[in-house]
Amino acid sequence: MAPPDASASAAEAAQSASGGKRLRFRVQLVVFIALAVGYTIFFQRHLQVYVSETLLIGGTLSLLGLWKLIWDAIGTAGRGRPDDLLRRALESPNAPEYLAFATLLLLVLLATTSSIYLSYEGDGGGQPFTVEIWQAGKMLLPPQTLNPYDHTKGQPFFLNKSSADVEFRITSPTGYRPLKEPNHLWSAHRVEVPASFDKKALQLLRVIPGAALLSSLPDRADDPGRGYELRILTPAGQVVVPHYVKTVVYTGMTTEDLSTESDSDQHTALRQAIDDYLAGLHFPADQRTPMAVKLSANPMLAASAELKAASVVTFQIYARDAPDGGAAPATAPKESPIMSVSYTIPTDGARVHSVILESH
Amino acid sequence: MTSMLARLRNLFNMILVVTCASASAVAAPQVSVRFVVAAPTFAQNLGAVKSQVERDVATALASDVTAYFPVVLWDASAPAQAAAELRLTLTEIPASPLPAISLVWSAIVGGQAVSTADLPPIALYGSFDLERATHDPANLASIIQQKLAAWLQNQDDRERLKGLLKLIPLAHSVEVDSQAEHILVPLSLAQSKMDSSSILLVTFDVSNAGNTLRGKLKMSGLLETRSGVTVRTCGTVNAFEYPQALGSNGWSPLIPQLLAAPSVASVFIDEYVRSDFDTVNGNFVNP
Repeated sequence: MAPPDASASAAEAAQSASGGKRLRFRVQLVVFIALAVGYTIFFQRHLQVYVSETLLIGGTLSLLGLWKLIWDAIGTAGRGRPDDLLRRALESPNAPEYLAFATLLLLVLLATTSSIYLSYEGDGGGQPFTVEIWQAGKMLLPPQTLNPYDHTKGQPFFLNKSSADVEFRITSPTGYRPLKEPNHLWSAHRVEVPASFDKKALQLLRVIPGAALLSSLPDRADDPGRGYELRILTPAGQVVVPHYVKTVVYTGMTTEDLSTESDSDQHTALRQAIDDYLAGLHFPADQRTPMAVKLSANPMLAASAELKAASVVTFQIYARDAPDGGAAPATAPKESPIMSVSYTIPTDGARVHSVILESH
Repeated sequence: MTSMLARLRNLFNMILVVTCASASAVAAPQVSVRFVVAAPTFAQNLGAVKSQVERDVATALASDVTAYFPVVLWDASAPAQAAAELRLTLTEIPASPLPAISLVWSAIVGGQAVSTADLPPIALYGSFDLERATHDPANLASIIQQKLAAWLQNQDDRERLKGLLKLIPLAHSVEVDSQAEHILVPLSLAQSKMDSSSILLVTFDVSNAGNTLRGKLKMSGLLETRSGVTVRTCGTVNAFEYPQALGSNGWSPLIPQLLAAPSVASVFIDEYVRSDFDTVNGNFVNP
């Protein structure tokens, strides 16, 4: 039988060892919970598309750890139960090593992983959207086409090295401003298409030759005789149509927007606008209809800076006489315009405007 | 030897025939045909090719008019001092919403502008015609030529052009055959493709006591006569007017007397009937 002092001392030692072991368990349990939360956050930020159950799994693990922590605090938590796997794992001698590795890995992943995901949100009218993603002059991904039925599109980027801003551009349809987002090595970009983009307030001008010009302009640029040059003076600069012929000229925006917007401008509406103008001058239908068809058949695009409502645009027409004895139009226009028409873009909310070039 | 002589004889005959033919030909008066693009929209837009259009249309017009009235020599490249000038001008007529474009006639005879009020303008583009060939010389020339051809096919319009023809003198001398009571003028019916039923008008100015009096006579029953290498047209008088004499519907003894005096005579078309017979070198082939 052991002396009472010795047994007391042993009991104290055992109690002390048990207390240290318990403290270490609790600390490792806290680290485990922190790791579970950290990985959950990581997966949730960057890999949700691929592992959509991350929140469920990570959350469950975190809750389990918390549950254990609480029960341990009130004195149970499976103590003495050999089948408690979590306790056995955390109390194992290798646990600190694994926890340290997992922590280090988590820190590296969180610090160097970014992701870009696009989702179809907002008033897209059901049409597909094509988005290009650029960073420092390079396209990060192939153009992404989003349809209304697409959940998300995109991917994570591991071990990032660049923190340059990322630019998202809707290339189809046009009419949206690019979206530039600051970027870090750990950024998670969530872009809603088209909701995250600002829609441009584009103003499309259809420039229609007036009756006098219609009876004067050449049909083609290489027609012999006098040529004409159209200059469009906008607040942002001048646009020149060197060979102005019998057709409609679209202007008011940049090349990319102009091609799409002029395409979407319904020919019926354009023809109607021409027909209305000519009908106002009492031209008979047999003259109006062929001319409306002709003018709308091959419109010219004159890209300009983006025009805004209330902008004043001046259209000047210059004659370019053929050189003596030559049939081809000359290159140098005359000094004074033969016609000058100013137009103020209305602020009534309309986006498409017909401008008739005629002397008043 | 015989063969050589025969050949020489043939050659001599050929030279004689050619000489006679050319000597007998009486030059028809030359009428300059001009087309002018004056409408500013067309003149400016056609630019350097305007003159080409003007030449093309003038040539076509001369050809068309010649087909109906070969009595004079219609020539698009005739010099400015021709007996007469027929001018067609592409003219802009103010209208709304667009100016109308018409072909307007004008004429000069003997250096003097003559009235063409009887020749109404030919409408080319109405004020509601939007499509105009302002940059297409070939198309413009073609459109104008079609308009002119259609215009000339119209009998009434041709009659109007005849009015101008009556102002152009075909000859400036006459002779009188008193015995036969014929008037002779230096014209070739065959060359003019003039039918014998045509009527010629002769005007003559006679100086009388310091005054110049003008007489007129009309010739009908025309017939081509040859005297040596000279070809003339003779006809009978069917009307005679002179201020100091009674008019008559036929021959007057005054005629030889008046025309024998120093006078200025001119021969005009009074009624032109085109001969349907073909001619070669100024001779009727199958009269």
